[in-house]
Order: sequence, then structure tokens, then C-alpha cells
Amino acid sequence: MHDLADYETRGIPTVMVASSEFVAAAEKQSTALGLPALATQAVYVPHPIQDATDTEMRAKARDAFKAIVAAITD
Amino acid sequence: MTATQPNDNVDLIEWYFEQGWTDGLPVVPPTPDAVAAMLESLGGEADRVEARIPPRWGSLTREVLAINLVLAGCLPAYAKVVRAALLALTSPHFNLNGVQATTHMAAPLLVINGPVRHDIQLNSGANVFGSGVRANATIGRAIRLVLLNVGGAWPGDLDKSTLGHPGKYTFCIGENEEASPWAPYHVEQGYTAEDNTVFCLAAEGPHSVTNHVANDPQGILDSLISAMSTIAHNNAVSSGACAVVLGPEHASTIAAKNWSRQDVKRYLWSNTTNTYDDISFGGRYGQIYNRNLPKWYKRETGARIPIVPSPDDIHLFVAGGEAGRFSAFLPGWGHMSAPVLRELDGRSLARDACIDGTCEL
Repeated sequence: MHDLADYETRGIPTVMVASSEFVAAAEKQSTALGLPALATQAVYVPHPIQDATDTEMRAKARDAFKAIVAAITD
Repeated sequence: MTATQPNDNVDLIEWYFEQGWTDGLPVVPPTPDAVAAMLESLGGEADRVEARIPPRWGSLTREVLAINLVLAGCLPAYAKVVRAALLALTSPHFNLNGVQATTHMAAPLLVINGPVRHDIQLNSGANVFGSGVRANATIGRAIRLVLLNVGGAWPGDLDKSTLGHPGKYTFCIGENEEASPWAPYHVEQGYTAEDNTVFCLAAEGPHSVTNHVANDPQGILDSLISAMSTIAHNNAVSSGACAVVLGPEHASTIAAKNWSRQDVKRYLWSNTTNTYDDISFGGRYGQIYNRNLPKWYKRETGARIPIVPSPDDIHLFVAGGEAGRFSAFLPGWGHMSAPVLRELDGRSLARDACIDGTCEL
């Protein structure tokens, strides 16, 4: 979230991708940084990701792809 | 902290619980007199901002620090130690935001060196990581209260730690310089013996290392190596720094064979046994590169994976009671947080005068 805030203040479009367990933490972190939109524009994939197989990860990425592109380009 | 005034009949201890200003234990009511005394020991200037505390980035003014010191049960003499520790923790390379927010259990470990240990009667002897001594109990507690009340790292909220560990209540020890056969830690880092320092490491809890049989350095250190050579702790998968605390009996046996602190660190570093096969589970879950480990580690079968990148990433202290053949290994969070050593008043190293501690011998 801190990296995103840094890029955004330099005018570089960003999108945060996180797993669904981190919605509340993202909202609080982005609010603390004064950029609450970072959390509302974030893309959340189903938790967990760390023990997902390569096939499961590709599926999560595929499902999130359009939302990620939209968040950067809109 | 925004104060609302409780009425005269209220039970203050319960009132502070209701405000959510505690670590789960009762706090000491911060009366104006107590806060004023604490503020004086910090040098006055109530509105001066000492640091901003992540993840909430609350402003730690001297007045807010003084209030939290009183809440924790500190004496005014402890204030400068807590202040120095907080300035160390808010150094950028410590990455306090990450330490506060991670799902890992890390808590900031403080190790204090120098004469201040005696001034404030800080325990560096028996039961050093345990309970029973006010300075250790309340200095670490004051840190935690600031991390909660100013940093906003409430469990499950901005503190996402899956498990946490008991050091999140307090995690503060002194090095037992008097029982150590070597120059104090901070002297080996370039400070003088008269300097007072605080060392901070984002650490897991201490893992006991027992060895009651060895009468040589290798035997004792091989037990430590056994504790270090697992794939379960965070250094194994995320590198970074760790701490080793030698009990005085172990340290004396090692030093009696003329081993220096450097010898100990190098022996430990050189002889841990984790391999790439261990940390990659033999390929059971596919190929694992692991970007958290240094680029120069070989990622091939049979390659040794050091616990930390260099011997100097093992921070070695002597502490604990003078009886008992025990030591401890404390893994760190990983490369995401670098340990910080700070002199209490922010003085820089005395490297010109004393390069490696030999002038103290």
C-alpha cells in the first residue's frame, strides 16, 4: 500500500492486488495514508494464494485480469 | 488519543479498558502530575513530535509518549530508553509498518547495553526473558502501548499477525556484560563501554537451547546449530538477521578455549545444515525460486542454504543467570526488516577511538 501511495503521488497509475482476507487492512492502511481510493480501486482475489497450485493461481489471475486492467486504465 | 473526562465516581482502571487504551492488562492512570514528571524526564516540549508511528502514522508527541509511559507503569528514569527504542524502531530500514502489519508473529526485541542498565535496574540475569522486574516489564510494555495507541496496530485490524507471541506484551532484556567473557555487544559494534545503546530486532520468541554435556565450544554451538537448522522459522525462508543469546555458563566454556565472539558467529554461520532441497520440499510443490533469499544462494539440489546471509547477521549477546547450561536462538522476521542499534542520545559510533572493542580489553 505504501508503494502504491508513492507511485500515485508521482502520477504513475497503480492497482493493488491482494487476497480477500486483507480488505479491511487495505482500507485502514489507505485511509491512514490519505488515499482511501487505493483500497476501493483494489482488486481482491479469493484467499488464500500462498499454497495455491500453479493451476489455481492461473485461474485466480485469469479471473482478476479484466478488473486489474480496468483499474489501471479507467 | 482524544481524552474525554470521566466523572469522579468512575473506576478509572475500567474506564481505560472501555476507552480501548490498554494492551489487555490494567493501566496506571496518567494523572497530570505523573505525566508532567515523565514529560520533564523527556526534556519538556510537550508538543514536540518525536516520531510518527505506522500503520496509522499517529504523531508521537512528547506528551503522548509521556502518557503511554505512565500507562505502562514506567518510572521517569526509563523514559529516555523507551524514547531511544522508538526512534530506532522508526528508522526507515527497520520497516516498522511491515513489522506491525505482517501475518508473521514478530515483535520488536530490545537489548540494552551500557551503564543505564544499572541506573534503571534492568534485568540481564536470571529469568531475563521472563517476568519479575519492573524496568524490563514496563519498558517493553510502553513500546507496545505506543504501537497500539499511536500506531493503531490492534490485533486483527491493522496488526494481521496470525498468532503473535508473548513478547508483544514486553520483550526487553539487558546484556549481562558483567557475566560475559567478551567485550559488550555495543563495544564490539564500535561504541564505548560508557555509551548506552538499544538494539532492536523484529524477532520470534526465544527457542531454548539446552546442552549440559559439552565442555568445548563445538558441542555447545552444535546444539545451537541444531535449533537454527530448521525450515520452520522465518530466517530459513526470508533470510535477514537473527539473535543468539548465550547463557553465561555456555559463554564461559566457549571463551575458556579462547574463542572470540566472531569465532562463535562464524562457526554458527558456517555449520547450519539447511539445504535447497529442504526449503523447496524436494520439488513436491513445483519449482520454488524464493525471491526472499539472496540472489547468490545456489538454487540447486544439495546446495546449502545459510540461515542468514553472513556471520554478522547473527547478533550475539550474553544474558541470563549465572547457573544453568542454556542458551537461546531468536529468529528474525526476515530481510524485510533490518535490525537497528542506537545510542540513547543519538550519538554516533566512536569508531575512530575503538574499532573492534580491543581497546576495552
